[in-house]
Amino acid sequence: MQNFPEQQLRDAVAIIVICIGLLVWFNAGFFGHELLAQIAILAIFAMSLDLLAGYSGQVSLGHAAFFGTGAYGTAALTAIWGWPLSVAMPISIIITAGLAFCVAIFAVRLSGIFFLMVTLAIGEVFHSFFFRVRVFGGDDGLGGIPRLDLGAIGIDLLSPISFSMFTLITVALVYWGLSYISRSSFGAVISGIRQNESRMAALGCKVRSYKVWTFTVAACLAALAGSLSAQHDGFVSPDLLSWTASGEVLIVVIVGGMSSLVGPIIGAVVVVLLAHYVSGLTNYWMFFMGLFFVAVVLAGGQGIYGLFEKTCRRLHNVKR
Amino acid sequence: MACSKKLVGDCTMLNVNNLSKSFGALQVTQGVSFHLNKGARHALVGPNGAGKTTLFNILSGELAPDSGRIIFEGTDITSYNRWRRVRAGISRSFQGSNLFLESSVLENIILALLACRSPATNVLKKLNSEKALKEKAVVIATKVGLKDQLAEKVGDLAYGSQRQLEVALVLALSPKVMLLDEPTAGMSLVEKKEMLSIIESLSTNLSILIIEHDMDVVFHVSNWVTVLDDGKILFEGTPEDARKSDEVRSRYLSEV
Repeated sequence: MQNFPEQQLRDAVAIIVICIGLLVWFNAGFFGHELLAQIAILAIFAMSLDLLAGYSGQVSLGHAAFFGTGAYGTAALTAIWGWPLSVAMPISIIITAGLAFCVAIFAVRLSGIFFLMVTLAIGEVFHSFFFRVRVFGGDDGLGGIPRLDLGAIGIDLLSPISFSMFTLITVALVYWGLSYISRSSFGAVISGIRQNESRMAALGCKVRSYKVWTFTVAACLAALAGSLSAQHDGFVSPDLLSWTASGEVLIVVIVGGMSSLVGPIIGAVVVVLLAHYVSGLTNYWMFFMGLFFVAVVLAGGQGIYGLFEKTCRRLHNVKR
Repeated sequence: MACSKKLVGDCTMLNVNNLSKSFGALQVTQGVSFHLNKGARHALVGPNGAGKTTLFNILSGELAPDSGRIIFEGTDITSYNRWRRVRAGISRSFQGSNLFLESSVLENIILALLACRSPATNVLKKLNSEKALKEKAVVIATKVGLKDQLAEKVGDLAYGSQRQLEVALVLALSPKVMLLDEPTAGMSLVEKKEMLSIIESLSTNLSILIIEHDMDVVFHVSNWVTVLDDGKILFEGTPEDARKSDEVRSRYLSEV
């Protein structure tokens, strides 16, 4: 009996999507590169949430808080204190890791709807902090953020062409890293925690420790996306941390297909392109986006990639 | 070494001392004391609501007792949490199906083998390259008679096979004391027989405390019986004595 090659299919689709990205990159104009970078950043953010929600089963409505601290960390260190970006970027990710670790220690004691509510509340705390504190520009936000200086190796990230390539490569690396984690024994344990947390605990697993580490790693990757977003826009505002931002990325993960890693990439592509083209057609674009999300969820709730995988699985079984 | 059944001594694995637990006004466990010797086959019986599963929850660390002590191999483990008890050597099974339904039989057993490792150890290992683990899992599956269903998804498994897997997960933790919560409940006669032979085949170094409703099963597998009623110990002795005891008969056996 030949098992369905689930992981190979995911890898293949991820490679195809990234190759399409490269093709687009070669042919895109200025605006195409902007869109490409936007999609790539959202894809990284969504993949980080997929690790947390899809793999370990901790559905969070406060994930944007860590996207925001990554963005604000980068913004504040460079625009206010004048640090070079090559230092500011890792430091902002490390600061986020510390914050996420502290949040996780308390948050992972809860699960399901209670975890959702506590992450929502913590996310709003972060949001109001950046909304209020004048040092970070308060509700005006903070501008004047530089991009990573790769001049030493002859790359000018200020040009949208090289910046979009930079984000595209980052997507590939993040996918590779996360798919390594999902295939490791660690990945097996967090999937066990998602399926049956109390049984995992009865098997002698330090469930909380696994959840804290997953939460922290997911937050770091969200911070990476946030830092890239700050560099891309050259501007940060408290809106980045609002709970609606957390909700939107959760929609991206669900529409694309949870616990597949490649699903969130597809979700990011679909959501960004749809928002772009539909908003050009009608003022009621949000309405049509909503209809689309409802349609995807009604079609089995496994998202776009979930449906695709299901179809492939059927074909595979028929052939057998 | 022959272990005296009544006395607490060198071969006592688990010594439960005066455990009590109440939920509000409801006293579910009242001053329960007993001990489990090495290699014991000890049955815990009693009517529904007698507090058998609560006692298991206290022993496995899911519930903290209000008072009393639990001594395991001479160490007081009353304050230990769940994973510390498992790592000390006490592991339990569950009454209903409490498994990883989306995973295969083999994956379930492998999960049980992985659970005790730290996150850092596990993140450095590729699951597919853990050959030794897989071999170990196959050995355990063979022990419980699931060798031919390794690749099957647990959610699609027959009820009896799920119960067998339940025992496999406990075995995977290589415990010294096994707490089996109604391993034959709801089984057909054939399935029951298979489960009994699995339990009989387990190492005699292993101490087993088993909750059981079916008195035939109790007489078959156990050599010592504790009857629990209303959270208190009603009777302790050999299965033969339990059958003869009028008290046990009036409170329990007559009801079945």
